[in-house]
Formats: sequence, structure tokens, C-alpha cells
Amino acid sequence: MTPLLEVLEPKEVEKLHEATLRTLENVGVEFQLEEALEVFKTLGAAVKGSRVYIPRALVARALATVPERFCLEARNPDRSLWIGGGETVFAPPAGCVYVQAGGLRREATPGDYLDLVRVINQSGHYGTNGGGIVIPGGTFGSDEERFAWLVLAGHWYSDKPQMGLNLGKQVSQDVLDISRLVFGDRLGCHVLGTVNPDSPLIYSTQMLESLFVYARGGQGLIIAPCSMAMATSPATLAGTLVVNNAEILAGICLAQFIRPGTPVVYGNTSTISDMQTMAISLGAPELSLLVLATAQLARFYRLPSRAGGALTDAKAPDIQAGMESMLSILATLAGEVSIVMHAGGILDSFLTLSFEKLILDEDAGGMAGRFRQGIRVDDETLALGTISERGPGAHFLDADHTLRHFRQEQWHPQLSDRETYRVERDYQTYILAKAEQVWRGRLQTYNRPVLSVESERRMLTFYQQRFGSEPFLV
Amino acid sequence: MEFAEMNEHVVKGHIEEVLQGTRGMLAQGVEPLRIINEGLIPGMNIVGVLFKKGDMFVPEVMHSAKAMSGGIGLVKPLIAENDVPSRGKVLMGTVKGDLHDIGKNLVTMMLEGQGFTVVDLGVNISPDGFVQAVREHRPRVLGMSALLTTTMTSMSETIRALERAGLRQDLKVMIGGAPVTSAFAREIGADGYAADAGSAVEVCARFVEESAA
Ligand code: B1M
Repeated sequence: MTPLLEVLEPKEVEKLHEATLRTLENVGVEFQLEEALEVFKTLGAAVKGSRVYIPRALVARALATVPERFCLEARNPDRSLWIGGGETVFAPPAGCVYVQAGGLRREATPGDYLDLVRVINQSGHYGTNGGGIVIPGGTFGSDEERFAWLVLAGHWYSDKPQMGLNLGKQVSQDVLDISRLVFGDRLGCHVLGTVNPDSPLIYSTQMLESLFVYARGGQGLIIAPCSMAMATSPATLAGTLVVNNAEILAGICLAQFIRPGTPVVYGNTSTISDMQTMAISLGAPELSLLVLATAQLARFYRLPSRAGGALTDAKAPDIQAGMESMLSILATLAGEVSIVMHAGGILDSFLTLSFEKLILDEDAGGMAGRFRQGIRVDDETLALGTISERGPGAHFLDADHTLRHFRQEQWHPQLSDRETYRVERDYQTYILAKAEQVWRGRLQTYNRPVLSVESERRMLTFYQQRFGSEPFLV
Repeated sequence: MEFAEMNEHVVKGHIEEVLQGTRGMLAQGVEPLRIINEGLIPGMNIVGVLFKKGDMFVPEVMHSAKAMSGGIGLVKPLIAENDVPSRGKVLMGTVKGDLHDIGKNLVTMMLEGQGFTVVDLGVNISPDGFVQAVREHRPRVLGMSALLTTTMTSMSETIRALERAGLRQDLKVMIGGAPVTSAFAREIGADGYAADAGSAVEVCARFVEESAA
């Protein structure tokens, strides 16, 4: 049996759903963009000022047009991925301010971003790449150029599906324009970007502009609040889920009304606010409970989900980081979340990306993934033939049955130490040094996946015309 | 009600009791300023100590602060505005393009709890918006919060705009937010940086002492 972890009873899901519909109908959601209000008005929703009261019939109508799963295209079609439908896809971090490598924390640079894209392109763990893994400093003519460069460089150095970036109309438009240059005439979902409601129950102008750009372009949207229970949503997890669910459904409604069939993901990155410091707490067990509930609600609505990650508030890749990251990534996998941003590398509550932890978490994800597969019990795995053949006191190392199964049955770590004790080894730094070797090794063996000369020329011309400068590509 | 009992109600966040107590004291002719200084503020001081020790948490502190302000609200109309005790006026807002306001709200709440008067401008305030607000409210301290690396630049633009408007001399500028550092504060010519809400109160207290000295 495969252990799918669910924390809500079917009738509790119904209760949350009903409470959400009542919230949408009676409290409403604020949309800070005239165009969005128009969409709802046209469909007969009551709109007062910027507050939209969404009747349940409209919610049902929107849910009926959302795809249950969709294909996120990669420029290399072999690397395209299904989002939804039972698989879990890992995505790298997003939005980090700092990087940490070899113990030192510093502001991320454009060079770090390129290195990350290269390391991730060669990872068997991360299915997607790009977007704003880190937001580097460095001199760009404008922030719009900075964001466009992140997207262009992601495509340039990686042939995995790309994550998007959203900070208003222009940034999102650039994201779509650059993808179009890469994909040419190939139809489909070329990029997956996140829109965050501003909890509780607000969609800001900037995020709505981005939502319109993506929906009109038929591109993938993750709608994901990041409320902090007690501060921007109720202190109870159930209350937080009601507020979040209302926000997500409201966003999904808008995306579907703009363009029915827009690929959307039911996302949630909410957690608690620490009662003493009010800091966001990602290592909290409450986050993992919310992850499980999010995946379950998404299944209830027949939508792909986004939640979780290998998350921690620790400032270094230490024991706290290990404990917290394992809890959240295990919940993520055991709950069958469809796509997982921040699936490795995060330190300091989303602020820092650790190169070593990016690799360590590949193992955490691997372990959790194996856990999720559970124990297969059938005539072949019961191994009765081998047991009777070998009898008491034998070993199974050279049995045919072993050869047939051991590689699938066991997950093998890249880093975990399963050797005997070595006196000469410094165990304080051992695993981190191994992780460092892995990412440095990948940089050395990296080969840039070929882009057609035609696409390259189109991308460079676009960048030059749009920003009057050459993109930084080394 | 005795002052000690009133202090206790402030600590416990009993808003109704504090309002009743305040009304009662006023009816008995207790001097309004004494109600504030002996009935309300000492309660909040105890809260400050308990919070620092980890014996009280943010939601409880907010209830205590609400109870105290409730009481002050009743007394205020009876005393001259200048007599209302305040450690100084602080103007707060998040900078242009930045909607992250949880940290700013916490800093605001802590400052109010510690006796500062805070004018909260909200989110997404442009340099011009800050300049106008400084002109209007004449605060002792301007506090700016930013959580995005891309909006941090607006802090230095605001400081330059204040200089151009001739409003910089008498004003102390404090900045904060997750990606902000003390080095950045020095670089852009801010007077202070705070890593968390507790230090923000200390920074403001230092500013007030400095300008009093
Ligand atoms: C004046 O004097 C002072 C003195 C001290 C001061 C001070 C002022 N201000 C703060 N302090 C200090 O005291 C406070 C108390 O101790 C502290 O305040 P803090 O604010 O640090 O702490 C709070 C109590 C709790 N912390 C927080 O509230 C912030 C947590 C994180 C996770 C966060 C949240 C919650 C949100 N976000 Co956003 N968000 C992140 C944050 C990651 C992080 N760890 O910081 C960060 C900052 N966000 C980011 C991003 C990218 C974004 N966010 C966005 C949106 C949101 C939400 C709406 C979902 C939500 C905000 C809700 C709200 N009402 O504020 C978008 C932008 C919105 C905008 N235009 O502002 C968006 C662009 C998301 C997107 N779709 O791409 C990243 C920054 C990227 C960068 N390099 O600049 C980010 C690091 C997360 C990440 N890795 O993606 C101290 O800093």
C-alpha cells in the first residue's frame, strides 16, 4: 500500500468548503483592479467598491473549466512534465535574497544565479528550473531588466521547464514574450508563475495585472496565499484554511472567467506567525499540517496542488535545518502535492539559498519519495520461492530475486554516511563538504543544452531592443 | 478602583474593566494625568517586562495595549494635548512598491505599547508621500520598512527627497525589514537600523534621548 497522508475527514473537507463559500458570498474578496471588477460584474456578482461577493454558482462554474492536470512544456520536450495527476514535481527555491556557500552568507549575484541554473539543470531531483531562484543585486538598467534577464538566462542555460516571475504587468509580459521566443510555434503551457493574494482576502493591483497577462496568454498560474496564522489569518488552522481557500478559489474564478481552461494550480504556502517574534515560521509542524490539508482540498476540487518544500527557519544547514526540512518535505510527499517550490536549498525562512542544502535536500526529497511509495505486497515481493530455496541460515545477496528487486526496493543516498567510523574524518564538516563537492562537480561537468541559433538570435534581439543593452551571459 | 488593580487589568488585557475603572476614577475626581501615569502606563510597563521574558505573547500584548489606549481615549479630551504623555511622534510606512506590512505593523504596535505616538501611513508610500506626511505631522522619527531588495532603493530616494525639501535636519530616520542591514542604513545615510521590533523601540528611545540632551 502507498501511504497517502490525509489530515481531514471527508465531512471536515465539506465543512471547510461550506465555510469558504459563505465567506466568499458574505464577506467577499477585495480586487484592487478595475478590470477584475468588470469581469465579476459582467457575470452578475455583487460588487461594492472594490469588494466582490462571489456566489457559489460562479465558483462551481469556474471549477468546471479548470484542467485537472496540464503539461508544463520544456524546450527539450523530453523534460516536459505533468503538473497534477498524482506525480510530485520538485521546483527550486524562488526569491531568495542571500546565498550561502561554504558557510558564508552574502548577497546573491547574477553569477550565483547562473551557477544555480547550471547545477539544477543537472539534478535528478529538481524537475523545473529558472524563475527568480535568487533575486541578485548587480547593476541592471532597471528592475524590469533584472527580472527579464533572470527569465532569459533560465532558458539560455537550462532545457528544463521554467518557473515564471510576477511583479505587475510589464514583468509578466516580458516573461511570456521571452518564452514565446524560445518555444516559437509550439503551443501549450510554457511557464508557470505564482500570484499571491495579500491575505486576508485581498488581491493587489500588481498581482492582478500579472494574473491577467498569464490567463490571457493561456500560461500556468499558481494561486498561492502566504498567510501567517494569527497575523494575517485566524489563529486556528481551520480558520486559516477557510480564509486561504476563499482567496484561492476567488483567484481561480478570475483566471477561469478571463480564459476558461487556463491551467491553474491550487497553491498554499501559509503557516503560522511565531507567538513571540511574529516571525514567519516554516519549520513549524503547523505548516506541514497545512500542506497536507492543501493537497487534500486540491484533490477535492480536482485541481493540481502546490505547497510545502524542504523548509526551515534555521540560519545554517545544521541540525535544526535537517529536522525541519525533513518534516516539511515528508508531509509534502506523503500528502501528494503536485508541484513543490522551494523543494531544496532554503534557509532562514525563504531569505537564503544554501548551495550545500540544495544538494542535501535532494536526499531528503529522495528519502521522503521512497517513503511515499510504501510497501508493495504481491506474489513476487512476498518472495516465497526465494525463502524456501534458501531456507534457514542463508543469505540473499546473490539470489536472482535480489538482483531483480534491490535497486527498485532500496533508495540509495547521495550523501548520507552509512560507512564505518573513520577516526581521521571530521564529522562536523563531513556531509557539508560532500554536498559542496557535488555542486562544484556539477558546475565542472556542465554542458549547455543547445538552443537553436534562430532562438538565440531572437532572444538577444528582443533584449537589446527592449533594454538597449546586452544580457549578461557567461 | 485602585491604581494597582487598574494596572492588573491592563496587564490582563481586560478592556471593559479598564474603561469602567477609568470612568470611575474620573467620576471620583481623580486627576486625569494621574490616571494615565499611575493607572495605565505602569501596567503597560509590566507587560513590556513580561513580554521580554517570554511570559506574554504578541496577541496578549496587543490586548493590553488596547486596554491602555481605551483608558487614555477617555481621559484625553480632559487634558491639553501637550500634556498627553508621549515619548515622541513616529511616522511609519512601507516604501513604494512594497506591500509587506506585518513587520511594520508589529513595530508600530510595540512603539505604541511603549508610549510613542505612531502615525501609520500604511503600505506603498512614495518618497513624495513620506515628504508630505513629514511636513504635515512633524514627527521626531520617520520609520521605513522594506522587504524586497528591489524596493530598498526607495529608502535612499526618500532620504534624498527629505533633504531637498529641507526636512531632514530635525528628523531621525530609522529603517528595517528582512533584507535591510545596518551597513545599508549607513550607506544611504539613515540614522538607525533595527533588526526586530524590540530593537526598533530601543532605537527610537535613543533618538528621543539624543534630541532631549
Ligand atoms: C522603520 O523601522 C523598522 C525597524 C524594524 C523593522 C521594520 C522597520 N520593518 C521590519 N522590521 C523588523 O522588525 C520586524 C519584527 O521583528 C521584522 O519584520 P519582518 O517583516 O522581517 O518579519 C515579519 C514579522 C514576518 N515576516 C514577513 O511578514 C515576511 C515573510 C515572507 C515569507 C513574505 C510574505 C509573508 C509575503 N510576501 Co513576500 N514574503 C517574503 C518573506 C520572507 C521572509 N522571511 O522575510 C519575501 C520578502 N517576499 C518575496 C517576494 C518575492 C514577494 N512577496 C510578495 C508577496 C507576499 C505576500 C503578500 C504573500 C506576503 C506579505 C503579507 C503582508 N501583509 O505583509 C510579492 C511582492 C509583493 C509586494 N509588492 O510587496 C513577491 C514578489 C511574491 C511573488 N509573487 O513573486 C521575497 C523577496 C524577494 C527579494 N529578493 O526581494 C521573500 C524574501 C520571499 C521569497 N523568498 O520569495 C524585522 O525585519
